[in-house]
Amino acid sequence: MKDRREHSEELSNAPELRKLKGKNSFQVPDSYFEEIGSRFQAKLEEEEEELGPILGKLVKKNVFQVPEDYFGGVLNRFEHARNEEEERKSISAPIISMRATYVMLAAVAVFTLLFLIFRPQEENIQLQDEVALSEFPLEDLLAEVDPASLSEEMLLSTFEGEEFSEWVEGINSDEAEGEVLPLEEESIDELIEELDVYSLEEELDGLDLEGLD
Amino acid sequence: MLAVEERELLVQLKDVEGKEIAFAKLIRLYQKSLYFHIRRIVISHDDADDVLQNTLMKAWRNLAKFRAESSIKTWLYRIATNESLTFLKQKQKRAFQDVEDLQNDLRHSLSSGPYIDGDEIQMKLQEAILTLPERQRLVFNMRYFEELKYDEISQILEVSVGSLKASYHHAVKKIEQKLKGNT
Repeated sequence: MKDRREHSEELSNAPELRKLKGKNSFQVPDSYFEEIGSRFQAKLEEEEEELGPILGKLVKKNVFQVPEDYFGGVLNRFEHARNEEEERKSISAPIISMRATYVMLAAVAVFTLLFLIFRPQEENIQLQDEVALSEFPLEDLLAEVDPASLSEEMLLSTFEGEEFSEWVEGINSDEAEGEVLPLEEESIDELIEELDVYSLEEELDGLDLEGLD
Repeated sequence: MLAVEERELLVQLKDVEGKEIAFAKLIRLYQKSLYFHIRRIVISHDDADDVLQNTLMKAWRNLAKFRAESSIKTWLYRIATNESLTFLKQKQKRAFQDVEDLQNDLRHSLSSGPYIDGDEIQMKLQEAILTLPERQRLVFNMRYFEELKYDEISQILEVSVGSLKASYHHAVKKIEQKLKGNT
């Protein structure tokens, strides 16, 4: 009642709206409400026809029951299962990666082994092929060589006896340069004689020895 | 569920932080209808419980793949249907059963299993439904008990509406005959 009074007061300031109030702009066909009942009956009959005489008259009932508060625990059981799965995933992920590493290592080992087994055989085959290929050109080359010029070249390239002995001496003297040889007594006297004693005395005179005690 | 609500829920489900809460909401919303949909296929309560959990787990794992081409409801129903059928096939394989053995097994669960309560005519109806071929059984249950629209069933089973109508019509005829024979 209070709401209606308030609403009426609100509309008192809007006369145009007040005039329109209560008028329905939505129309229905003339016999619409009279036909509702018969249309409903027709729908029921149609359904009965669709279902047949027995099913159409049967009251639908759910024969399946559930334990008490079953639906109250569905969410909890799901969350439990989800957590378990996530835990399992977090544990199994490193194991799986470790397994994958082992499998890869094993595969690499097998591959290497196979490679090592088959590689020498392949090389042998290649080597044999190369030998077989190079055999004929080598024979051809040897056939083209002049034996006389070959012997000359061999003579030029060898050391003569004297040259060789000089070369060996040279090596020995080079090695001896680094050594300190003992001085003989005679050679020491000769060295002392060679020193200019007077010139040494002159140099000593030139020195200012006053400050020395 | 209204289209606006579904859109909001979808946004939440795609959000990394909010998806757990949104999924919990989804479970609360559809757990009953999904459970009974599964139960009508596998009959036993314990089996239905297992399949429901599998369905929810599968939906959770595949949330990122859901492209909203169908409604969340039909998506969940599709997963539940596939999980239920897979469950029955695995059960059949494990026990080296043929189709007839499986039907007998389901009938046995219906007559002697716990958590089943119905009068004589209701039980006869359930038995008659179990004699139907797989597709007809699915269509009949979804249309008659779950009152899903043909469009929705079409999305769930990925079968045309015309074909569904035909399946339902055949199913009704067979059930009527079975019930007539029993009365």
